Amino acid sequence: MTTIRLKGGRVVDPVSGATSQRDLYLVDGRVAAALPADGRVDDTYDCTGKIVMAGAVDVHSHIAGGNVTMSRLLLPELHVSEVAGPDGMPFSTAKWSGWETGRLYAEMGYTTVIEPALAPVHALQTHLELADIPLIDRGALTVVGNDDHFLSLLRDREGETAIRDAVAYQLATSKGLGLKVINAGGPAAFHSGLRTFELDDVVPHYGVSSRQILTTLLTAVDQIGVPHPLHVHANNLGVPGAPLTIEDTIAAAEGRRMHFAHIQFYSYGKDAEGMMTSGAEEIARSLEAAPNVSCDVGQVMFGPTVTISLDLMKQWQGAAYASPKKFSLTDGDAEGGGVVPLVYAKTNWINQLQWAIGLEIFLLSPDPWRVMMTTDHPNGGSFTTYPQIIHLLMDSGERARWMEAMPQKAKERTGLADLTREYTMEEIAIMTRAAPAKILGLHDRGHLKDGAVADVAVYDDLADRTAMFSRARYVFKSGRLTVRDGQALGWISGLTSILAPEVDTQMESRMADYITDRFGVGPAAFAVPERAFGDRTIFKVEPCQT
Amino acid sequence: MRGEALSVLSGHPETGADPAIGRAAALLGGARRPVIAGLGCDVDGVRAALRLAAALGASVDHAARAHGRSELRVLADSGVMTTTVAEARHRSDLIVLAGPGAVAWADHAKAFADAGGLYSWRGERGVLCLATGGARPAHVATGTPVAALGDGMSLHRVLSLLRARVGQKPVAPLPGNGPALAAIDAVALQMKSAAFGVMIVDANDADHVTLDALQALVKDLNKETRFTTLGVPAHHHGRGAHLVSAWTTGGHLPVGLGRGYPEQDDWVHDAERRVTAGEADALLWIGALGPDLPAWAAGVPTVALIHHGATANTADVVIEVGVPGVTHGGVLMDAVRDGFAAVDAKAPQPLPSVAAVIAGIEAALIGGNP
Ligand SMILES: [Zn+2]
Repeated sequence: MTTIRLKGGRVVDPVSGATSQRDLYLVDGRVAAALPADGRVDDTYDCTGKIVMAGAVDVHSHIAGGNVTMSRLLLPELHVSEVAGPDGMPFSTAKWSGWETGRLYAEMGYTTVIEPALAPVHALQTHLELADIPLIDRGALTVVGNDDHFLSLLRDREGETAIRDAVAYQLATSKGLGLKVINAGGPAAFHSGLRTFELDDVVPHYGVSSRQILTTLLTAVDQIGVPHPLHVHANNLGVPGAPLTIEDTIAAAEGRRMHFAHIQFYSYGKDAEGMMTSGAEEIARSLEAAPNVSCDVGQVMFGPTVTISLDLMKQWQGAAYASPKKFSLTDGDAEGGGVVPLVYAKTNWINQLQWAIGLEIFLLSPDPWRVMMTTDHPNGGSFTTYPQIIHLLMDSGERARWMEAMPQKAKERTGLADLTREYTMEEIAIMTRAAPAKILGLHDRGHLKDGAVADVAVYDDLADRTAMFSRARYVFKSGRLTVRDGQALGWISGLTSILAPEVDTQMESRMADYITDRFGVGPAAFAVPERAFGDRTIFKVEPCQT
Repeated sequence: MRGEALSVLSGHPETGADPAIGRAAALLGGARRPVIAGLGCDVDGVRAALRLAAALGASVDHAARAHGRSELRVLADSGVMTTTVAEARHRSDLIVLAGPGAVAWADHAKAFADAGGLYSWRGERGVLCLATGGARPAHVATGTPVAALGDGMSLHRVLSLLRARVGQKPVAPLPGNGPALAAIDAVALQMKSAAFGVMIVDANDADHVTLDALQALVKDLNKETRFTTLGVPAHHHGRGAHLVSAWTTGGHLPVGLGRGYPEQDDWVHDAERRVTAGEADALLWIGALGPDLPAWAAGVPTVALIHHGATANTADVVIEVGVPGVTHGGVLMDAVRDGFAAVDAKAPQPLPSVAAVIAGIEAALIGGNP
């Protein structure tokens, strides 16, 4: 037995109780509320004056898969490596590599990250990439709703059971942790030449509306017992007036649980002239009225970045604004993907407005359990800006300083300057730990209750929250010290959490026929078998709801 | 695994891989500027090779040069529009075979041997050959006669003419033996009229300028309809190796790891150039899936990992390795289904995998050379 004592820190964990100064024990990779009976402590870390939190959990960050790797190949100039890493940690400073991703997350105190776009036909690549991201646990959301097989089931008016079985098949074979739909029907419509797609628009040749796809999937998620609600990338991303789309989509859900991805990108209103304004208040009202709905923000932060999305329609439109002037667009077997680089410039009033709208959503949030922190990495900005975002949320003075640079045209279109709310440390702990873990169904993390996975981040309690959350003093992954003084200490591998819903044998043989007709090879070519990872242990099966 | 291996030294068979691995480690570990090349192996082999390169400070390159130097360069220069083989087969109502390599691949892979019937609304499939030097596909199902343009011209010239006419711009006077303007316009119209056209090209037929022109034409066509491209798969698992490099080092091959961080540079880290220019003092050639050790390797101390039946006469240490998908399981990019797939051993043999041999070399480096 190995017992680690974190001595005298201020433990911020709203799930287990009020913030207090106390010792925390990590025993054989699990959190223990009290010192084990034998009283032996192997290692003690002095946490006096420091903040102790559960390891952070990211509900939506594009860190692996074909489209992420496409962005690596498209934009070499954005990630030229120039610093040597320490011995024994190969590729730790290789920019945009999986190794660097794992290190950077760990050094901020993150211990679990979810890749939100697992394309079933490319599941093995995504899992190979995830397995090469060290120091964190991972998971991925299986993308459904735009593939020919699924749309054909809807067109042919197959029953709920067949649809549930087909979706469960995709989830199980791709080894996803949840289900996601992207602009339901939009990418399929784009393949057929359409360039816009609304909730009641119909996918050509299938006669199926976006609304139908969405509601069918909401039902399937419940029937399969997926712990994470359907993860929805709604229609009309980035379109002024999209708050109405969100309202309509919430209405379509009829009270069923649903998670909106990167809602900031749907929070744009328009004024009388059709110019963009903040729609954050409308979004906040919609969220307030719908306790069944959660979201992540997708905060925009300034600088050059790249957008990676399976929303082909949106990416085709966005390609006109690519900076540098290049993009990739893949018509895949279902969605495919688009990669478009862009710059969020401090001098651009629209980008400033996007930044402000994201913060407004955080500050108008009715509930930190339902509004989570993301940048939709890298779409709104890098995950490495999280400490700055926390700083902006906890410190209204910091916000005022940033707003000084804001062009007047942006200032008059957002209510950000009037918002005085400052997030508490407890709210930060909920928003970045407890809430994402809970909504993903990862009940063993995101908190420090007795028996939780010993994923712990210890921070110096600095007024400069950016500095504080950029470099954790200590990070423990499953009870092993992985970061000290803001520096990763070496490579250890985490696990990829997956669901393993039962697959109906009849659906299995129907899918085998379909796959063979479509690809000329059978389902084995799409499988994600454990043997593909050699001797490594990769997967951890999480339970479905019953 | 290592203990069971057969190995040969300087072309002469030798039993037991451990001594060979020790010599390989000594040869590579003693080098100041080693190169790892060929890289015809599965995902775990590429992962291991990159890790070894990081330990040695080596350059890493793959034998499929056209894919890396042309196709991936165009992706980085100006981006690409692409699709998958299955989408091209089922959805496309116009398959454009650009260059003779596209014709050869379509016939060889038989990807379009049937009409592909998944999308009932699709019209008949048309086939168009551009600058194929007279080559026509024998195994591509088509509803209409195969059209062709520019059999005697370069692909770049044909693409430029089409791009001009698709954009309704005038073209310079055409040579007397070239196509008539009406013929170019007819093909431009055929392309614009497709609902989902797919242009197929082999990077070995085209330099990066030509591939760039091809992508530009496709982007133009998308203003009014849907059009995209498909690259003929790189040989010897080239695409798979480049992708593994991208997620491991951040960029495609070739890459140098001599400074403790990856440096992607097509010229500096080109394996053949480094060896022939005398910049390399050791070579690890990986040819589990081929290709054979090239003649230029004769000039440098070489460790060769080769498959059964291959020879590597100029190598100093030769280790026979298993072949993924034949003697071994593994993960390979599957060209037909367009993605990584786990493959099984069809005829298992007690040979070491590339990853196992490299792990052995790495262990010998750390443990001190025997
Ligand atoms: Zn996203």
